[in-house]
Amino acid sequence: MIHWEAKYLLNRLPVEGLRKFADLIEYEGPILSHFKDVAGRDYLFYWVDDDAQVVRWIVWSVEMQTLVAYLNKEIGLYDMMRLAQAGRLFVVDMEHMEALRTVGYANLEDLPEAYLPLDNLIYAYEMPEAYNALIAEEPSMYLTRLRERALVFEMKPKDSKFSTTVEMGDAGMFLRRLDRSFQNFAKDDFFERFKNTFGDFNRLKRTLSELMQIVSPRIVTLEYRSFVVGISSDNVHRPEDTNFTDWQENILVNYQREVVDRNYNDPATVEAIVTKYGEEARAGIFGPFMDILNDSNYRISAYNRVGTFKRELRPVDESKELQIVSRAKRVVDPESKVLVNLILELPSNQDLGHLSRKALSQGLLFSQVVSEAHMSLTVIETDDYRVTLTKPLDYVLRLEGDRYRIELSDLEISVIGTSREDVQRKLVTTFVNKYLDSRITGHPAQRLASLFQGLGITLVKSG
Amino acid sequence: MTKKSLKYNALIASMEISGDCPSLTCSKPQLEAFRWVTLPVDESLNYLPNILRNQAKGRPARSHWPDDTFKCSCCGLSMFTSKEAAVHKFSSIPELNRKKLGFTHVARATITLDHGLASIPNREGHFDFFEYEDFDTVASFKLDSSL
Repeated sequence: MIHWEAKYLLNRLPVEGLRKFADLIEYEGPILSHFKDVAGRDYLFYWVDDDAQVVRWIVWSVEMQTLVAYLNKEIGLYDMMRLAQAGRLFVVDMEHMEALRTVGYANLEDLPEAYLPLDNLIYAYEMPEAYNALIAEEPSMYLTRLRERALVFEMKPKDSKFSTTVEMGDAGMFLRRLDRSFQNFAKDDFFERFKNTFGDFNRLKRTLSELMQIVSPRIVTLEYRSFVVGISSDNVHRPEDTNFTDWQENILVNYQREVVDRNYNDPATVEAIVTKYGEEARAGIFGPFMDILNDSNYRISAYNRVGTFKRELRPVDESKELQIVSRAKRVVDPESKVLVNLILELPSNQDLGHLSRKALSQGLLFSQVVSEAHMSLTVIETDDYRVTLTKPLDYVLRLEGDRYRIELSDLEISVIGTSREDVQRKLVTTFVNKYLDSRITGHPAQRLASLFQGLGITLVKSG
Repeated sequence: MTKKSLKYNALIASMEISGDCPSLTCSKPQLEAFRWVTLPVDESLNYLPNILRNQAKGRPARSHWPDDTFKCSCCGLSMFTSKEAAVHKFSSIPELNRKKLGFTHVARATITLDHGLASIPNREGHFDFFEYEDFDTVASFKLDSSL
């Protein structure tokens, strides 16, 4: 044993009522142990030396936050030692398993180098189960624990007009789709794994419902420079039945592997999905996820916090998408809308702006869901201008999933919005700006000037 | 069938353990077991329960306020269910402690229900093996690889 003399000797460890909470590293006896005192303060005992009479331990008080960071593999053992509270460490020689022989008091720099775990080893195992209850009681630690395993998504607009910011409606839509996809995956996965262990289908449904309350995805990180959101599922609050612990522990990683970390344009991947999942499951799990991938306004990437996964998520070819989820099986978003072409028989003097429900139901001759509608307008108003057209401006309104698109191909205008009002607002702004640009000599839009002239535009500045 | 007696019954008795040792949850093994050793692999100290090995080396038992589970574990031989578990566990220990433990190699042996009782492996793949009196541990373990 190294001969070491403490600058300050104490007659006892100045801590009351120590009790061991867990051995964190051990082999045929503890190497690193976590203790708590009567006041709930946390201490670490680290074995550094021994001789025929005593075992020598370095003992220090540690913040729970620091300890959790160690158990989460964010910092090493030496980091924990350096973060000892007030920089104070005790050197404790312990005799015959129980009796303290000497207690010295030191700063880190006073210790022999041979007592410092300079390899700063990262904790090698999963956090011991005993810490779950501790973490569940401490909100900041609960978040730390969930963040550790978070699956992070980043949305970057393709159009840099508004820098990397994301419209709130788009972010909300993204989260709704992701939530739906994850929840459907979790339900399907649970059902497939445990359907044979439940004799009673209602009990299976009840259990699943209870578990879904725990594992439903939660937002654990958020950035807005570009929209970055980390989602995680709870692995702290355990289900009463321990048979489901492994399922709970792995559901997020399984979702990552089965849904997020996929190349949907690879025929083998598509075949594997179609073979493994039934039509309903595919529609519920992969439908909303592919909607995310096929959002033409954004580039999406994903990675996990532990650093074992990173992927740019590419749009899915229409043919592959249809192989995975047929149009007929698309799960309908409760908020989604369709365009419907109606043929009504109405009195010739009927004001079409005020159709009654009765007139609609009685006069309906034919209806058909359509993907686009041909429309026109003769007056355009913005905050700054009122534009009157002598010739109606024809445009095509399309509903693409849950997005509205308006196209005027002649005028090279194509705008997308999250609602009809939104897309019309964007059309008006784009139209007026382009018209004004077309009047500027040398501007690229000048080549469209004759088309605008053909519309017979009268532009009056408002106010 | 005669009940076999354990090689370290006397040691277990001397530890004044209040519960069952080995625990009633121990089972009869049938597996390839791995154990940390020093060279030469047939050095008998390699196959002593840790409390006896420490005594032989003139070292006190490493513990603080030991409970019955720890005392019982001291009377068994530490083993792993796979070579990977043995190596991973070793690498999870800080270097200064690895040096102090002194192990350098992994030895392997097939252990069966005729050889002793095994505790339930923990999440690290570690278990305690309580050998029967007639099991020749030294002859059974062969050198596998370095740690």
